[in-house]
Amino acid sequence: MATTTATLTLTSSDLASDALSLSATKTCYKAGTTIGLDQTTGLAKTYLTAVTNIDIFVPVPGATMDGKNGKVYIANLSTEDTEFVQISIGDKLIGRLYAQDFMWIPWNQEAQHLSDIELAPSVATGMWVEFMHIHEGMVYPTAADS
Amino acid sequence: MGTLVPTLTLTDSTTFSDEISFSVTDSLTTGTPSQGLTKVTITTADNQELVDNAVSGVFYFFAKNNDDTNFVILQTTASEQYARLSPGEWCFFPINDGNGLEARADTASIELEYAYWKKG
Repeated sequence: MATTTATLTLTSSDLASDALSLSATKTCYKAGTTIGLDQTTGLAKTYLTAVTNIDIFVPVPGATMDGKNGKVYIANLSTEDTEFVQISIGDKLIGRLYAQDFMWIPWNQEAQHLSDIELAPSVATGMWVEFMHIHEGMVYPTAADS
Repeated sequence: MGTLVPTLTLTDSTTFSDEISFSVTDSLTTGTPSQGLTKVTITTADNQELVDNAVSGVFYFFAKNNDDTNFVILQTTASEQYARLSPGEWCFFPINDGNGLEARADTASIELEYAYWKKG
């Protein structure tokens, strides 16, 4: 049985008068079920040397996966505080991951181009990024040789 | 100003040939405003704004859907949907300056826990 478990802890001793110590754990399930997500891209690590906005996962080829569940992990491995990667879903700008920041977000592959996950580095001098998609299925684009 | 330390741990020893087991930690300098852990009822109505797009800054956002059955939609304050948070699931991500964030239940009202902190 597929049991991918994601845990987030958030801690702080100086954010407010009361110390923060939060923990959230969840097994990743297929949409509307208690069946675990059983497919993944694996953990990818890549070095980007252009500020071009790119698709980091297989672009959504149609609307057939709308409503399916998936989880996305993205991390900016840069150690330069000012360097960031800008994350978008289609034309919807989500936010910037600065050096060492990460995100964990559900991804609904809603429709072609409208929900591709896109990443744009802030500099062309080279940045390491890491990402992974755990999901219940995707439709690969039909191969073309020319 | 304060420091927020988020840690993400992913584990899976049964699904894939290669075991998933890794953990990442960050140290985030935060400023004001911040919103401590809050519980709200999210209905199926549109425009339930959790992060105001008129407040400048990048925000680190956490949310957890406490409902047992129904998912909740996360969207920009322009009602552009970008994520569905399933029952019991949580998320943590940055919100871009000026984007804001809204939530909308899909089928029936749900209880949502959320918090956010401005990047310092």
